[in-house]
Amino acid sequence: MTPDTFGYMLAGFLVIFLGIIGYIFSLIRRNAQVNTQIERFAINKEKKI
Amino acid sequence: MILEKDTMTPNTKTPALLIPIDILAALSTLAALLLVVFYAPTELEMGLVQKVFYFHVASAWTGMLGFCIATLAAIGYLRSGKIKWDVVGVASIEIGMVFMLLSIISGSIWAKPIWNTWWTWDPRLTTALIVELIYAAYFLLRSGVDGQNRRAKFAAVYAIIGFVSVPMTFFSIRILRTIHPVLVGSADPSAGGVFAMSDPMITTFFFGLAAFSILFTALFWHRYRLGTKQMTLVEYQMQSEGGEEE
Repeated sequence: MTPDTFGYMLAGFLVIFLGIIGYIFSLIRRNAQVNTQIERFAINKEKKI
Repeated sequence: MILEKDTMTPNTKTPALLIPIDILAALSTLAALLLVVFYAPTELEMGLVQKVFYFHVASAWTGMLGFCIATLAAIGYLRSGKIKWDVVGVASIEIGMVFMLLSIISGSIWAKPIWNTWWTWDPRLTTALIVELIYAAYFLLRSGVDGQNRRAKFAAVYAIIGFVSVPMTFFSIRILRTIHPVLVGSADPSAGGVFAMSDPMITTFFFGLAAFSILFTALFWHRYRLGTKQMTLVEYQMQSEGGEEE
C-alpha cells in the first residue's frame, strides 16, 4: 500500500520555493540599498564639481 | 560599468534581455511545479514524498553548476587579473550555496519517511555537507583578506582547490557503499528509496533541470549586476575617503 507522505512532500516543496523566494527578496533588498548609496555618492560628487 | 561618464549618475537601468529571462525563469519554474504535481505519477512505494526528488536533484544540479562556473571564473581571474571574474565567482558561489543548502534540507525531508531518519552520515550526505562548509569558508576567507586584488587572488586559488569537493560528492555514491539512490549508474543493493523512472517521470525530471538552469541564469545575472554596483560603491567610498584600495 502506498504510504501517506503528503505532509513531507508539502514540506519539501515549501523549503525549496520559500528558499528561492527568500533569496530573490534578499537580492532585491541589497540592490535597493546599493542603488541608494551610489545615488547619494553621485549627488555629493556632482555638488563638489 | 555602472556610471555614465558624462553625467556621473549611476546607470541602474535593467538590460533589455534580462527581463525576458526573468519571465522565462518564472514561467518555466511554475511549469515544472505543475508537471511535478499533476503530470508525474505518484511512486507506489514512497508515495507523494518522492515528488520532492525532482526539485531536490534540480537544486543540487544548480548548486554544482554554480560551483563549476566559480571555478572557471577563478581560472579566468588568475589568467587575466580582471576583477569582473572575481565578481562572477562570488555571484556563482553564493547562488550555488543557496541551492546546495536547499537540496540538503529537501533531501533530509525526503529521507525521514523513507530512511526513518532526518540525517545519516552517508557518503553522499556527508560530502554534500562538506561542499557547503567549504564554500561557506570561501566567504570567511574573503572577509579576512584586505585589498581588492589580494582578496580576489586568494579567493580564486581557494575556489579552485575547493572545487575538488564537488566531483567527490558526485562520485561518492558511485564509488562508496551508500544508502542514497543512484539515478545514473549502478546502485548499491542496500540503497533505500531506489525507484525506476517511467517516461513521464523522466520528462518531468529533465524539464525541472532545464527550468532551474534558466532560474540560475536569471539569478546569476542579477547577482552579478549587484556585485558590479558594490564595486562602484567601494570605489566611491575610497574616493571620498581620499585613499585608494590596492
